[in-house]
Amino acid sequence: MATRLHRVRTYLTRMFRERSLGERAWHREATVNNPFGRSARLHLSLAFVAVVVITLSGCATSPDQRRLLLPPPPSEDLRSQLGRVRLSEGGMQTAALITAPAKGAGEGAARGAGLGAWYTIAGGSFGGPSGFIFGILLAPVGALVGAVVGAARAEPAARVEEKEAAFRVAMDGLKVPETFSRCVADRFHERTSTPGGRVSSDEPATTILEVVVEQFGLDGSGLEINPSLSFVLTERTRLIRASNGTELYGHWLTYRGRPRPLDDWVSRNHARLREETERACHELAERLVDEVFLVYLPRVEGGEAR
Amino acid sequence: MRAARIRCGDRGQSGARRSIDWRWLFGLALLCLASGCKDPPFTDGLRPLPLLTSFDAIPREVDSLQPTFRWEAFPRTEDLKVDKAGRLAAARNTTYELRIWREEEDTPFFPAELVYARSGLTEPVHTVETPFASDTRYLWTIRARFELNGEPRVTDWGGMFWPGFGRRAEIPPRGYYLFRTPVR
Repeated sequence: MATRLHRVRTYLTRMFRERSLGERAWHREATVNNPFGRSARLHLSLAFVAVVVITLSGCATSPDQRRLLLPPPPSEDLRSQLGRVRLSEGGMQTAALITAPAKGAGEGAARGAGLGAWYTIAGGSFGGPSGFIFGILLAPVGALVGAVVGAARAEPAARVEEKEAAFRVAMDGLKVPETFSRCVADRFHERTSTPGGRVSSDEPATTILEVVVEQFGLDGSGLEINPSLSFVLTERTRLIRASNGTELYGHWLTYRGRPRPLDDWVSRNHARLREETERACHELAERLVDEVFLVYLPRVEGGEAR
Repeated sequence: MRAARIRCGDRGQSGARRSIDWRWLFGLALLCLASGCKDPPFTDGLRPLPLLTSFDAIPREVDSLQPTFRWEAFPRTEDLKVDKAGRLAAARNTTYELRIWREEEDTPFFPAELVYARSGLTEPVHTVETPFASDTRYLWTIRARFELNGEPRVTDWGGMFWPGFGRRAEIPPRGYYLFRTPVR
């Protein structure tokens, strides 16, 4: 193991020091003696691109992994102890969300500069470690080009703000949290099989099913000049023991629709927004109730939680 | 009932047909490498028959606008093996639910519109009753519905998901099984 580590260290040291001096003969030798294997550069490049892909997909940037992954559904033992379940909206804690396009030439230039630098480095990384370094060296040029393009492509700040304001008014009008609560209530009564196990809001219950809309709105990459925006709706569900307030189970679940430009969302009197809200409410409520009351995962029940 | 013949990666006769999305294929290949390319990869819930291979990001082409879908019967041997509590032995009245979506143009694997849904299927096979549009990409999934001690239960929806990444807390999933209808 120590020998291998030594060979790896020697390889990397020589690769970065001696190749930069133009020792092509060494490269031929190093390819033969490469401790990673014959296709080391390919593997390194693939690994780098994989890290980039995973990072861009959001895995490495979220502050809370629990929002990204569903926990196992409640066990059969827990479900058998739920007794009479009451649905509760859990208070209003909703945040409206909108990722706006760049507002004016200044912000467009800033975003463009960042993107230009990033694309230069990422593009260079396809050429292996030396290409990656070359990309870093050329990043200022990429940033400059990106800044010019970004400034030219950004819409005037006033126009973006006007669209954003119109969109916020439309979102308020849709009353998304209330609509979602109705969807959950409908699904809750439709999908759970034991009418005796459910109670209305003024009856005593054994367990509280608390559902909160945490956020909704349009989300996209805030780094792009005019990003495509997806309708998102995030809910937080908890099963709480009524007698002592103990949390028995909890999950976050997010609906994320197809990305579209902001213009698509505000056109046709926000028809897309209404369609997407309806779909999000329906699908999210169905999945929520399935997850809490219906999904059975044999490997989880067998103690092999994923 | 004959299962629709399925060809992987066949471009067919039409030059106008949408080609393979190489970006997705490249991403899946990377993930395949990262996960050790276990076979069968990326699956959760019930799987289609014939079983998937590593590169089923390429849509399977069915030979009819009313294809026949087949999938694993529930409970599978592997389910019984991991179900250490032994509850599945008491599973009764197993049926299947099938859903088919049209894939969103320009957004690979995104289920745009639910075009076909059936529930209460008693066998793990189904021939669709209404023809689909030709030369179109669709996504499909199935799950089992059954009763445990008189209570309804379901499995996860089937799809290709990355091993080790857990169950994503995001819907709609981007991993349902992909197929493409032939040109008519």
